[in-house]
Amino acid sequence: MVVLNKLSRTTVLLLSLGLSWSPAFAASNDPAEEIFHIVNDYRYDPAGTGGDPDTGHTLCGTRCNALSADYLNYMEPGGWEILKVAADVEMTVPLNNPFMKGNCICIADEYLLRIDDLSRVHPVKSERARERSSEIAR
Amino acid sequence: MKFLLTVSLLLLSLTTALAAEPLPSAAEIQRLGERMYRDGLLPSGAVMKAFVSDDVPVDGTAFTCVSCHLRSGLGSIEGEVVTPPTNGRILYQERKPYVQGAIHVPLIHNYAVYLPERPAYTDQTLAALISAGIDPTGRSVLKAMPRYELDDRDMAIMIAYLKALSDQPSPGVGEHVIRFATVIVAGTDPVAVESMLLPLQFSVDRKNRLAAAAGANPRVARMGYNMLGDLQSYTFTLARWTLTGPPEGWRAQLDDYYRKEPVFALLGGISPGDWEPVHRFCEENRIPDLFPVVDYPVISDSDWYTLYFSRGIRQEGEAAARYLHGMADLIKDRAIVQVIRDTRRGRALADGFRAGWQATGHTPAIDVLLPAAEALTGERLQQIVAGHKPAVLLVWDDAASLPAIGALAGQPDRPGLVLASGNWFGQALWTVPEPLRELVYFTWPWRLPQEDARFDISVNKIFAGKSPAAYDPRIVRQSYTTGEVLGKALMEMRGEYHRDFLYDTIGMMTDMYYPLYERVSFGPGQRYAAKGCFIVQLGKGEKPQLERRSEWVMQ
Ligand code: HEC
Repeated sequence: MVVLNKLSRTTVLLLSLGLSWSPAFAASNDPAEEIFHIVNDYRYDPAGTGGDPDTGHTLCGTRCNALSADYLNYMEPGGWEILKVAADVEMTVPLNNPFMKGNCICIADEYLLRIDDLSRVHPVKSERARERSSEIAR
Repeated sequence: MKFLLTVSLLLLSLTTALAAEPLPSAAEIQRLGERMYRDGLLPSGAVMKAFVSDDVPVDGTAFTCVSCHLRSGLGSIEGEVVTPPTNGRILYQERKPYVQGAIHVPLIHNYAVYLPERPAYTDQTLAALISAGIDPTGRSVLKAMPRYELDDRDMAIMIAYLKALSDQPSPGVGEHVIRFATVIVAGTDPVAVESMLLPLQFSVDRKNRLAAAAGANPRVARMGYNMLGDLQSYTFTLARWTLTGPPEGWRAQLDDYYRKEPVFALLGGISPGDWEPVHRFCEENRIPDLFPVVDYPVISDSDWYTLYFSRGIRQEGEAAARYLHGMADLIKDRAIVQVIRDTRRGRALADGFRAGWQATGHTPAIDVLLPAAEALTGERLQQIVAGHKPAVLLVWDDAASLPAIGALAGQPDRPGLVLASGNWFGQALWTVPEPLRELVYFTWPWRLPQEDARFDISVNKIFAGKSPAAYDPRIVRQSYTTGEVLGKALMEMRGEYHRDFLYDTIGMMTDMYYPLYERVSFGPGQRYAAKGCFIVQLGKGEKPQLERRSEWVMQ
């Protein structure tokens, strides 16, 4: 048992030399849960303002993509679990452009991000979490 | 049959030629060979004649050896595409589908498992491979590689060049030790210096502890070997090279340090201003420098040896241009005004914007220069706005400009948006009053703070009992990344510690997610890893968060 502990510490030491995921040691004060979105598509809705549809569409691309997360930013720190909670949700946001009014409809998958305490202790589990997350990416 | 005859005639002529022709000096071979290998130019200056599918002529300066075999010639594996080493040391050895000495270690394998066995090359069979695309087993490689028509003398130079390529370990690599140094420009804020050093020293110490543990315990050594191969038994050293006085005097100091202790690479480094002399020193001595902490990197498409985090301050200006480009149709003929604080930082932001804006073919912005010491008052800014009626006002100044910007809020012909540097505003960014938050946009060259906090878990371990509050969190994160990228690269180098291979290896890495930058990406010859910058606004409420208004990399 003692030997095992020693060995697994060595493994951690070895792995942490250069692999991009890092086993977690310290607790952090992050919120325990968070929602994020991965935007798949978007539309412009002039909402009666007469905004040009083409320009609106381009600008909504930037606006909606800005709301989208790169899931690796959530997985790479390690110690988090990602759950898909909804697909193709339509989120309506104001275009927020000083020169043009209207709304953007961002179509996104919704994910719940949750501290995965187990994987904070056992790096191997977080490797599994990575695999899961790469399934999401596909 | 005819084919075989050609090959044997060729071999015959080469045998005689290679023996007869006197070759230029070693230095000249190096220069001429490198030009063939990297630029596709013959010693005569003419373009190398290259053919694909045996007889289709292609541009020799496009199909260069380096474009496939990379600078080190040590081979690459990228997805399905395997390019074998093309340096003499490996070519003149028989190829077995395993690495000598690591036969039973499945983790330690390389390109050799993907290609058939072959005997060692000789000068003659190597010449046949290059000119006819036939390997020593008689197998054609023309599906994967062009063939090149070289006369005997040029062929001999090419072969001599390949023999010297990545032959000896680079300077700074000793038996079981790899030496590094970091450059500190005297006068840099001591907190910044310590923040840069701490993560580097942490990586070095961690590596050395592992080497010591492996030396003491065979089981650890075996596991270490399985993970890291040769690297496991190496220790690292990190020297501190401090540069004093004006930049003109740095070169002599660097040369002196380097003469006393040649290092494999520089790690990090820090300067409050100039970096150019260090950059040049690295270029001329072919010494890699991974990620110096500087605001004004040398911007170059072709320089090789310094890898920067980003294009520095100017990258924020470039991002502003890309963001506004997306709404150029709406701005139409209205002016864009850049109010530029006449300091290095102000000018760098303005230069970045100017370059980005003009590259997309727009009418140049109107520049208004503010003397370094003159306060920007509300009246002055209102005057500027009244004079030019800009659609967009860029304020490249520090947070002291905030009250002046505030004075615009009620003005009827105020610009549609004001853009400033979130980096330069610093902590004051969080104090932008609520009524202004809709008007003011900021460049933000990092991941959003609320999202970066997740990386504390990995970064905090480097503090090992020290108080994080005593360090600059951004510099710590930058330097942490340096240690990670170095560790990852050295692991993948499989015992071949050559400087050019370090960059070849980094160039093959996929995008990575480290603290601070939303994403860092590499690629052959790419030297500015973080290619993005967000445009953000401060959200509503008492404890506002930054809200993204753009993607990280805008097209
Ligand atoms: C378009 C990419 C490409 C270019 C350009 C290219 N090579 Fe290659 N080269 C390859 C690939 C791929 C192979 C492996 C082919 C195989 O074995 O099937 C190879 C094989 C070789 C080999 C044989 C290696 C072995 O172990 O048998 C040598 C030597 C070589 N190249 C040298 C050169 C030189 C010298 C140049 C420039 C004059 C060059 N190559 C240009 C892709 C390229």
